[in-house]
Formats: sequence, C-alpha cells, structure tokens
Amino acid sequence: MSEQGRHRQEGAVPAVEAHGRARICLVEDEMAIAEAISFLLEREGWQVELVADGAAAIDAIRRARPDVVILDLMLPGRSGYDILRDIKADPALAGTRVLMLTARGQERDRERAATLGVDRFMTKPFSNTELVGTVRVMLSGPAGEAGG
Amino acid sequence: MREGEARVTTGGEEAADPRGIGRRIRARRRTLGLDQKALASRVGISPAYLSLIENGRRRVPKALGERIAAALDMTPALLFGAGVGAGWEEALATLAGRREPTDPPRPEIAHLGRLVAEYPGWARLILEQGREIEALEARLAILADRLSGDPYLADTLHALLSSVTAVQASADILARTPELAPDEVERFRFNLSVEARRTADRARALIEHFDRSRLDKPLEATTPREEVMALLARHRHHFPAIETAAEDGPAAAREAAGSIAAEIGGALSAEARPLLRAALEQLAEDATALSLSDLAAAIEEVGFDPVQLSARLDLMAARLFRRLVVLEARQEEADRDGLGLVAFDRAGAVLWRHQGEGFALPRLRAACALWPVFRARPDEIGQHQLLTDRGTPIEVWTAVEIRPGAEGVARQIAWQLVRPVPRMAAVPAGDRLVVGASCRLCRRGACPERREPAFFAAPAPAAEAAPLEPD
Repeated sequence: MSEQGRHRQEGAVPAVEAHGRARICLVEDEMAIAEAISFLLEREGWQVELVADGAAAIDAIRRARPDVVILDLMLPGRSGYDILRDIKADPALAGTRVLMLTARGQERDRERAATLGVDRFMTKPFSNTELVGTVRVMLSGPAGEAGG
Repeated sequence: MREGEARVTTGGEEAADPRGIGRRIRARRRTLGLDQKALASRVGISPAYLSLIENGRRRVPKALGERIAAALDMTPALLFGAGVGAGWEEALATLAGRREPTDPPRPEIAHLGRLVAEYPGWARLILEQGREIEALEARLAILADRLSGDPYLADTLHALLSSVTAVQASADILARTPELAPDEVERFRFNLSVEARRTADRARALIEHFDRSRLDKPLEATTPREEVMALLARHRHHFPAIETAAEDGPAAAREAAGSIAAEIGGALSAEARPLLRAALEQLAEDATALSLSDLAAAIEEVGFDPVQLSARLDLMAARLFRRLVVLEARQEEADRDGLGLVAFDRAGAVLWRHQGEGFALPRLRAACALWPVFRARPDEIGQHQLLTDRGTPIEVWTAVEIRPGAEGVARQIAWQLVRPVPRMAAVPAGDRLVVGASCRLCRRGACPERREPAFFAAPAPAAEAAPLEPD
C-alpha cells in the first residue's frame, strides 16, 4: 500500500489541469464496446486513444501518459491485471488512474484488482451515464480515491 | 458362567439382531441404575454371559429374553425390537455420528435401542430423511462440479455479457443522442444489429448447454472424455461381445471393440468417439490377456487379493484391476462387492472412472489428495484400509501403469481399485485414514490437505478420532 499511496500523492494534482484537455486511454478488444465508449468520452470533450491488444497496451499508455486508463480485464495478448500492475509500478504513470472493466464481477476479481491498486472497478454491462460519470469523477476528484 | 445355562433355557425360537437386543438391554439396565452383576443374578445367568449378550455376541433365547424383559420392566416385544427393520440401530448410529451437533443436546447414542423399540415411526423418519439428504448431497456434488468446473459455461457467459454490454451501450447512444451525425447513426445501428445477433446466438448456446445437462439425465459428461467415461460406466465396462471375440485372439477382440464403438458411439459427440474406441480397444486387449473364467478360478483359489492375483496370473496390476471390475459386472447384483476403479494421470485428471457402491469417487477436478492413488508407486501394488468421510470402511489397492509418453518422458497413469468392506465386519476406526471425494463435499473435520472449504461445516467426529495414517 505504501508505494501505491506515494504514487497517488504525487498524482494529487490532476494532470488535466496541467494540459487542459483530459486524455483517456481505452484498452478494449470488443470493437462495438470500444466504439460506443470512445463516442461517449469524445462527446465530453476528452481525447481518447484506443488500444485493442493487451500486449501493445502498456507501451501505448507510457507514450500517451493518459489521465485515465479504461482497462478491460479479458484481453487478447495480456491480461488486464498485468497491465494494471505495470501502470502502478511505473513512477512516470503516478498520475494515471485506472478504471477496470470486466464481465466477471466476482468478488475475487474485484479484490485482486484492488490489491493491485485499481482506482475504480466497473462490471459489464454498465450504463453509459454511469461510465461517463465515473470517468468524470476520476478526472476531477482527488486522486487515490479507490472504489467502484 | 454356568455352561448349561443357555441350553437349559432355550425354550423357543431365538431372536435375530443380537446386537440390537444387547444394546437395548444395556440401555435399559443403565436407565434403571443396575450393574451387570445385579441384572445377571436376577435372571439367573452369569455376568459374563450377560456381558456377551449385551455386546451382541450371543443370541438371546426367547425364554431368557422374556425373563430379562421382566427384570427390566419392559415388554418382550420392546426388548426384541418387534416391527423394526434389521440394521436400523447401526444406520441411526452412523447418521448420528455424521451429524452430531457440537453443542448439547447431542443424540443419545446410548439410548438408540429404546428409540428404535419405543418410537419405530420416528426412527424410520430419521433414517428416511438421512437417505434423502444423502441423495440431495450427491446431486449437489454434481451441480457444484458443473458450475465451478465448467469452462464452457464461464466462457459463454462472459461472451454473452460482452455482447449485452455492446448492445446496451449502442442502443443507449442511438436513443439518447438526437444530434448524431448520419454516419454515426449508421455505425451504431450496424453495431447494434451485429451485437444483438451475437447476443441471441450466445443465449441460445447457453440454453443448449443447459438442455444437454438436464437434471433428469446423467450429468457426468462435460468433456468428450467425461462422455466416454459415463457411457462405459453405464455398461459397467462389460461387453460380452468382446469377451467372446477374445477367445479367438487379439485381432478378433479388436474388431469386436470396433463394432461396439460404432454401435454405441452414436450417442456421443464426434470428438468423443475416437476416445471411446481407444477405451474399448483397451478393454479388448485386457480380455485377450486374461479370460474372465481364468480370473474367477484364480479368485476361487487365492481369494479377492489383488496382490496375490497379480503375482499368480503374472498380470500387470492396472489390467488386473480393470478385469476385476469387468468380472464383477457379470455377476448377479446381490453378489457384487460394489468395486470402484479410477485412474488419474500425474496432473490429477481423471482418465477412467467406474463408480462403486457406498463411496464417492472424485469427479472432474479437485480430488481428495488423501487418496492413496496420489502416493502410488510404480514398482508395487499399494494396499490400504481406509474410511470414507461418511464412515464406510473401504479397502484400496493402487498401481501405476507406465506407458510410452511424449519426447521420451514415460506416461504414468495411477490406478486405484476401491472395495467397500461390508458394514457389519468390525472395523477398528481409530487408526484409519479418512478420505473424501472432494473438499467441497467432504465431512472430514480438520484436514491438512483441505484446499477448499466444505459446503457443510458440521465436523465428522470419525475424522477427528482418526489420526493420519503414517506414510
């Protein structure tokens, strides 16, 4: 917890304020879901980068240094847990918050994601309003407020 | 003891169920606060003789029974247990041992004799409920296996949730965004239609999956190998045509296996059919190696002793085990011991299963790690006396079959033959290893090998009384 806590504190000033337009990286392999989410986020004025492959995700995230990563748990190439672990271990991504999406809402998955330092956890199917609302809170609220 | 006693007083027919009678006498005597000596002198027999009677080791002549009943102020009918099924007391004692609550009041085991004699209706109800619970637990075991160990179900549900998510998100955008550009409308409509179709397909697949596993059908089969094992088990691994053909040599037996595979394989999935054929060819090879009449003759000579049988017949133990199961299938139901046979690869996957009587063999995954099969050694036939978590004494033999494997790594298949010991055979429970089928349904209490909690928290006293068998 201590390392994660430190990261979160460093990221306490949302990066959004620094560069104006919020950047979101969406890691999702189901194209129909990805298109819908991208549309919803872009409509809010946020900048969305889409990654459909688990193996390519961490490089794209390191490059983009997004404010929020929306991360699907079940991905081809690499699991969402591994990507989450990499994000949380990377000091350069200390300000990046992670929303994990999964079709498996079991307590076990939730706990594992929480252990790895996930900021929010959401199960599919979700409502669009709920998703956008959650991302908005993650962008504006104080960092490190995990939940979901 | 005055030796003539029993003979002198043998006036009429002797009553059956001496154990029940003995227990009732002891229970009543203790209720009245009499010691053996006092009661013995009242009815004119020696305390030693009374002790034998109370321990169920002497039948009670009718006249003596009547005298004892009079001395104990109970009716002879009550003492002899009129209207009571044989073995009720044993069955009730087993039930009580299995479900004994941790707090008082606990079942009054000492008064079982009186419960059965005075309240046969209640006794019967308890027994029937016990049996019903057993049946429900067996069903639950299968369903639990199905839900937790069924990768197809998990994958399909995951895919279904994914497409539902896409449908919901796309439909919501279309419904709530009046300012959508025409190409966006087009895109989300397209996605909606594709994902709606996928949702329907996946839902249908799910329904078919459940339909295949309806409760009124056997639930064994979730994988092709499970299908084959279930089918072979329904035939008790016995195919008379193979036995007959085996008399004409290996080629004929193989051919018979082929035609049986064609005949009964129709009910299986296409993937399962080659596995069925391989299993039947194995049975044919076994039949060629040892005829059932030779096996029966050898058992006649040395008894049911796989160690000796294997030596005498110069037969690989795994093959002997399979032949013993086939031989038993040929016998009348009443003469069967209820043999079970199960084989695992070293990764613990079940390769062969022949369910026996009175004990549960592990299914799918997560077998009880205490079963001797997981300690089987290639160079010997292991022989063990165990108790199941339900209190059934069993004998177990293990053997490892070595077959050619991948890249020079030999395949080791561990076999385990299980034979329930008749309940009435006195078994000292104290030093026996207690095994279950799988953790979720095990009644064993403390267990160093437990990897999953049990559905039923009630501790099994037998397990606590039994320290682990030294390895």
